[in-house]
Amino acid sequence: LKLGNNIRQLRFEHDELSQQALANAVGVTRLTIHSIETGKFFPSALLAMKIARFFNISVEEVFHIIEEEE
Amino acid sequence: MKYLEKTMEKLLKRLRIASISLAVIGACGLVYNLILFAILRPRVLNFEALGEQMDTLNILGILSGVSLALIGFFHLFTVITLLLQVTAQRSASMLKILTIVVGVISGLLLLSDLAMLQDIGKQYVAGLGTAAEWTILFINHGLHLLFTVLALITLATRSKRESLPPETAVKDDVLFAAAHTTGALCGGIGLTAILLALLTRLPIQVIEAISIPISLLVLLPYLLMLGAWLFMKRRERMKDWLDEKQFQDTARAGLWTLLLLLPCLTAFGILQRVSGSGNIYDSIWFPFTIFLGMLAFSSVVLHSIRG
Repeated sequence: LKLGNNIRQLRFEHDELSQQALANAVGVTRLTIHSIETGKFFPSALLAMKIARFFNISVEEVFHIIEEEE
Repeated sequence: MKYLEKTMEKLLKRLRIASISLAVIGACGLVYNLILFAILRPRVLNFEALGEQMDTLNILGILSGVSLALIGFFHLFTVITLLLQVTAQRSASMLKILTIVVGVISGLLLLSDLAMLQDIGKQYVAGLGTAAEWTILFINHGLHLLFTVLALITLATRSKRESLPPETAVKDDVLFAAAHTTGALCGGIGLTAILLALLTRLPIQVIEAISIPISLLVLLPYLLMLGAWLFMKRRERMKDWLDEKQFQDTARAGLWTLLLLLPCLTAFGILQRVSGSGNIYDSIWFPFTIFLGMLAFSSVVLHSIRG
């Protein structure tokens, strides 16, 4: 199982919000947002909720599980 | 806030221009010193009488001292300019970090230049050999020259990122990466110095005498960058110093460093016991462990940041 996300899409839908602006809003570094977007880092439940709250949507609308095919 | 940013931008621009000018003056001073030393070295080594030219030599010596002072001023100015660029402009390329590391080491070696010149003067009068002092002087000047070239390239190159106004970051990642780049570089330089000492088969007494000062010299740029990072974090609570990914990266790096250091320390322990007292491992195990730890820890953090 992998954790997918729509952060990049959500950023573009919010006036092409930069990674740095989102990072500042949720209290992490820009590289952390970049790593989450590219699937290299899975955020904690708290950070996932902070990101969802920032976009005013539920966590499931930001993050979703990707089932890997064997 | 905008006013402060503009003032800092202007200050950095002026510092950059001043540093480039000082780099050119410093380079002239270096070339002058190298030519003077190249002329004097064979004459001093052969104990040729210099009495008749003493007046001229005194003037040349004063000029050499002025050159060293200018070179020192250039080192200080450039390192401060580059550190300000890293912290204020959030621009920390590998080249810039390398220049800061070489600059700090090279700047401190200017003190060694003064000591060597004094030794050469005293030993020439006393009729003693000065070959080792000349070698150290030329190696030091080679490092000063390397710093001058690196500084000129770094100061003259303006990255795209520097020409754009930096986006304000609440949580900084540039200085974190810069501190670890410095750690990896200093660790690598320290290990190379130990390897060179072993390959050139320096006597144990010499290694014992130089290992601590050279280790401190190589550690200083890392401590400086770490100090800059801590200074930027001074108003934050300790638990907020790292964000969750940085915390994960440092934890992973800590684990890998432990896994690497444990067998190394075990090997050193065995070698020390097998070799008996007064062996080379007694002198090198501590700096070796420190530098290997720095190199491993910072390299894994950097790999995790970029991976």
